[in-house]
Amino acid sequence: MNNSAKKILWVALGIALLLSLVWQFVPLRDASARLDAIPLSGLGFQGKDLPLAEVEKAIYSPARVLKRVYQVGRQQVIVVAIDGSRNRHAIHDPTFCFRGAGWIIGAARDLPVPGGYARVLSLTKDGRHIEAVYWLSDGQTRHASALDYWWQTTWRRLTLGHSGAEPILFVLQPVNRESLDWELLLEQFPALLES
Amino acid sequence: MMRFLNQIRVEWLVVAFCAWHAADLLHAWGHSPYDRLGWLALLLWSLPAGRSVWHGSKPAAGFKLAMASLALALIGVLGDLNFLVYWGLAGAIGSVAGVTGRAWLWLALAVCWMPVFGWFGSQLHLPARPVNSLRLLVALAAAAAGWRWLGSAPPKTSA
Repeated sequence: MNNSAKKILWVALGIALLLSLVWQFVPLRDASARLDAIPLSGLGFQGKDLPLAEVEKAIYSPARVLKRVYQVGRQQVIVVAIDGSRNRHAIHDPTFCFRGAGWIIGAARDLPVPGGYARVLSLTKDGRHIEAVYWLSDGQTRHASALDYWWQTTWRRLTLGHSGAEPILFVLQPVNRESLDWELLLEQFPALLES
Repeated sequence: MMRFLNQIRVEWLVVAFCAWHAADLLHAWGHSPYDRLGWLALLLWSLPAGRSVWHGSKPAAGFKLAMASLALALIGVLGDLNFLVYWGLAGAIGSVAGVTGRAWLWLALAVCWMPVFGWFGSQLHLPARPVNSLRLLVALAAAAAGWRWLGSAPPKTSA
């Protein structure tokens, strides 16, 4: 490498260092308000906060996570909602997480919801069968695509938050049952689809 | 000042910059079953690079590759997209190891130590264990390719 090439690389490295340092201090508006807007109780549903396990804290920190169990009509559901504004890597493709935890994903189907769709997964592990539902929401649009999430959040960080709101990941699992009537649940608990 | 800076191989600082920002790899290796053996894959993949550096490589693509790696890593840092940072790190290591000709295959196989390898495996409905085995196989293939071709470009002769 000749001297002029070296100089250019030094300057580029200096710029990269500076930008990467400065970027950390530029505030990025998070989705706390939308997370806080998810009610603990209301007409037809009653929730309770659940503590995070140590391993969950290690994976999610410092992202904001809401983990609750809700009684919605006659159905019980665990709701996990994650705002990855402060740690985007806390949010993984749920199919990756379920498979990593040893679940085998069988059928998957889309569930239409306001502003897009959620995904219903059939999961099997050690003879146990359950369903789980997930979606990513920026408050307006909803989808279940990890690639779309990466694109949304990367573009959002590159534009310092001007490209839109941070998507929140919602994951719902039944309690003591294999499956739930997801359409009915979301009908009785519409606040989940407002954040 | 410039004399002092000229004595430092700035490509190594690019490697350090990328490695610093790729620290999330440690978290992935520690927590994700699909990425558990990524560290071993990185070690295997890096062996030929270490050998090439040890023998004093003269990187033909050094400047361009270092610049491209730095750009990738920077976009990855600003956009919080780790896989770009990881490719930046791979390219930066390639820039000090002297990637030429067929050794680009070694560089392309750097995917073997990246979390995206595990993600693709999961998308193919494979459990974590075979994905980790496949990861190591690819790392071994990369090490063999790098051992054969990295830093092996014939020196330029003047007519």
